[in-house]
Amino acid sequence: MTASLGRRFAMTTVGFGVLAAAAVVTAPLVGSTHISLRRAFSTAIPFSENPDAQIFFIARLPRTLAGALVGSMLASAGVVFQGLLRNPLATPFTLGVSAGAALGAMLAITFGWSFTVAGMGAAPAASFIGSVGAVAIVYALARARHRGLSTNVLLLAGVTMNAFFSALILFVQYFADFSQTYRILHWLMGDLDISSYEPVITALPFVLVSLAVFAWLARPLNLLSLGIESAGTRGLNVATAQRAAFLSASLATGAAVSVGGPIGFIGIVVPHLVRLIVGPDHRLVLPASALFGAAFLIGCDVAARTVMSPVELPVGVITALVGGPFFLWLLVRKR
Amino acid sequence: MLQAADIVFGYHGSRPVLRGVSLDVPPNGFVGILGPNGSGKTTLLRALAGAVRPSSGRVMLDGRDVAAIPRQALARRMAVVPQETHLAFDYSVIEVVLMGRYPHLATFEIEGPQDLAIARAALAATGTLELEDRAFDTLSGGEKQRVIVASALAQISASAVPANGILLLDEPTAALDLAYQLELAALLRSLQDRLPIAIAISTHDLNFAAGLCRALVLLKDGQVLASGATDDVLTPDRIRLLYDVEAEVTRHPVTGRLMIVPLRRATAESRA
Repeated sequence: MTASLGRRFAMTTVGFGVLAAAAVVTAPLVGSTHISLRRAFSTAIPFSENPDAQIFFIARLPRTLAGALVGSMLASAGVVFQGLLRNPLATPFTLGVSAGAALGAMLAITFGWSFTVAGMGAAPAASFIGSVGAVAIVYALARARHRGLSTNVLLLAGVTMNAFFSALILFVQYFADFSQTYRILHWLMGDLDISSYEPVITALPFVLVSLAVFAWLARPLNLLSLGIESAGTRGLNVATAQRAAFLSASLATGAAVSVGGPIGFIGIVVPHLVRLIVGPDHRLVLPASALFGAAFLIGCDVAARTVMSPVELPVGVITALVGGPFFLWLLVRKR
Repeated sequence: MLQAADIVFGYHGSRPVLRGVSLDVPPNGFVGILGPNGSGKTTLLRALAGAVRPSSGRVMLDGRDVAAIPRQALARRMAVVPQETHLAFDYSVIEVVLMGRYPHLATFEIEGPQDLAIARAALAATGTLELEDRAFDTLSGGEKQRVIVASALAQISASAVPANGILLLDEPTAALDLAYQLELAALLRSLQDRLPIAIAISTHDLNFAAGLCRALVLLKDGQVLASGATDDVLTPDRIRLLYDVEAEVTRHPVTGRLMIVPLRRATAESRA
């Protein structure tokens, strides 16, 4: 206990903030066409005659910002789910959110739905609706027999819903033709192939609401680590904290998945790396994970765009290749 | 003063666990709740802490119904030490003790120098100051229990001198071996001597309660079998009724405390 919490908080947010900002600025510079940061930001050349600026702001920055948003939401939602379930191995997808989203996206693709809701295309909108549906079912089950939320029921209901939705996904896939199946597979791998600001702007309100709730949740999540009963006798309203945690983290996950698909491993790799650096206090882990999650996913996306250039890999492939071995290392690591 | 008046409670509408229980924990009192497994000890403690609400009867703290006291205000006066504590994440000892400061802080307020001083004073009072920077998970069972007692002390303290709060301990020795049981007993006795706190403890261990508590409440099937000063309450007849065991109650020649020697299971004749 050398530095006070206030100083550690400042050091953590500044440190990880600089990392995230650096990722946002440098990632758009990388790609098949080389561009210069100075020319992209030059005011001497009109925008319409400045290919560097056009590539930076129109072709690559939206994708980078989408990566930042998705990475930061999945990482911080992972922290909240781990705290809520008192289980360091929980992920944003443990409780059925992603399976519901996948089913929604699948239905939209397979049956060729073509509506737009608030600037979202059919697949993202349907995936968001699917995730909300899955969350509602799991939540209702976990509350059915308890005044608060039963985390055991949450876990079992979530895992069961995951399996059930996966079965439905296979069933729906039976009706898809070859090109639809390809699109579905691509979506399920998680991909940030985005070239407009619209998805980010549409998701932003959900993101801001979730972040505000996360800020309030930091200390309650610390207390929940002691156990539900102990948290309650220290003055925490456990039922309210659990509900807020489940709903806000699910909302963040649903928004992230509607933008980038179910990109795996971010929600578990980032929180664990962050805990190794800043310790277990959620008041440090949450902001650090949100910022580092952004930087981490942007980095993975740069790799996805470049390692097999000109072919672009779905970023979910990269996060899984990095995250899988890391996860196993965590499991066998000496404590 | 913590009082339970004729409280009744059952989980999810099943058979009541508590069937009209009354007890007093006076200021600076040391009350043991004694009974066999399943007698309702833990539930009684949870009701006293305000964690479960009795379906009838009331729990009063200084004359106010605990159900009407805001949970943070209640937590500043009364803390609970559970049987065992397992952390979900790798917190240090000082972080665990500082969690006791939760009910003293505003929503986004962080612990200040005063809170740190209170936490350190609580660690010192439980003899665990040198463990401050250790990871909680690496401690022995006895050390963990002392740190949780420190966290409870920090919770009921308004300043570095602990105020007149109440500590509730739920079978605190159930997971401890003999040396740690004695150590915890010595700690609780010394806390009681030095600090203006009241302690209520649930246990099924007759000798632990006899050596430690000034007053006892004997609980059987959710009802009070007897209550009062330890020396008056513990008789062979009552122990037979409570545990269905024949026992001899004597006074230890060295310590002068009551000592219970279980002899055998009660028989049909001895019960009559």
